[in-house]
Amino acid sequence: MLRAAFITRQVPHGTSLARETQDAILATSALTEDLSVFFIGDGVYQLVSKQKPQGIACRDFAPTFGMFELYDIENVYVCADSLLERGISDVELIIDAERLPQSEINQRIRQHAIILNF
Amino acid sequence: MLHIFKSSPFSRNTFIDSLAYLDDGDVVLFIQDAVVITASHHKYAKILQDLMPKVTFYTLTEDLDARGLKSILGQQVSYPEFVNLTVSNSQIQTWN
Amino acid sequence: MSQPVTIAVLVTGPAYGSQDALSAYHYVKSAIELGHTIQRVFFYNDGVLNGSTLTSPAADEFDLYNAWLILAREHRFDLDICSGAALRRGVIDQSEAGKAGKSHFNLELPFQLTGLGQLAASIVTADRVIQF
Repeated sequence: MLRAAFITRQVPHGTSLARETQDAILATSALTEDLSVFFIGDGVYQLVSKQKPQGIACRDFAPTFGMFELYDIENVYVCADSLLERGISDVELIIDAERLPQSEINQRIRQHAIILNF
Repeated sequence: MLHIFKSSPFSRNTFIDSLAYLDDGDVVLFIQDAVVITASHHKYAKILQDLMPKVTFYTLTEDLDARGLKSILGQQVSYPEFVNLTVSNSQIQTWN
Repeated sequence: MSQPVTIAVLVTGPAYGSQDALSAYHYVKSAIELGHTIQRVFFYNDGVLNGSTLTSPAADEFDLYNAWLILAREHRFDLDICSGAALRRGVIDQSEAGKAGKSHFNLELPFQLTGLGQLAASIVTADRVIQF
């Protein structure tokens, strides 16, 4: 059983949830490598590359996803079905997260003791 | 796995979008505005009924009472039983 | 009656405006009554607003700020307010107010500004982390 799963489901910038979830993930990675991150539903939009939130006075936190590897956050997954449903399967993503079908995402989430869903 | 839902399915699609994440043997607890989902016959009631053999549904009594409602699908539980559900189910997620 | 467990509670909603903080409060109260240990209540996202000393409900309405104080003091659990999330939302203690050049502050003990490390600690060590 892995320790912590972070499920992130919001489009970035319209609310602070996506950015603050990333902060929580980074803080947790300092204490354990035993964690996974799942981008599902609207959360897949957080990985769209070439975001320019400065124009709306929001923080550009997407580049920090590129630091995940440095922080030993290796289990990073994006829901292929969510991408398809939103018509963005061919859009360039900011990191090379493993694309999994929803059913597989569900099973991997269940391998974790603590699950936070934002 | 215990899933906690908070919003009305008529206002937010959280519950409907998360149906694919409910597995056999899972437990669902409706709190806050989500309690409306078990309080009457409506377009989502059939979805719950179809799931009921494999998923157990609970609705928080205090939130139903607050809204003048009673559950007609699944069981009602109070806060102490809510706590017990979070103790007996080792995996829990709250769907925003 | 189940074995007592250690529970951390994550609150993401304000004292007033959504029910999250109230649900969390009632949950914490019940958990304590059933003999479980509350490791901490961690306030994040809009939940940091629970820490504002300026919260002033009407006399005939529930005073959640006070309720948290009483419960936390009696049962000795921390009320951790995420510092970054709090400052961005105008919840600030005396020390940070001084640094930021603000003439007022609105956060006092037992609520305290902490880093996300406290949330991480609970994620790593608590038996349960309940998110509201």
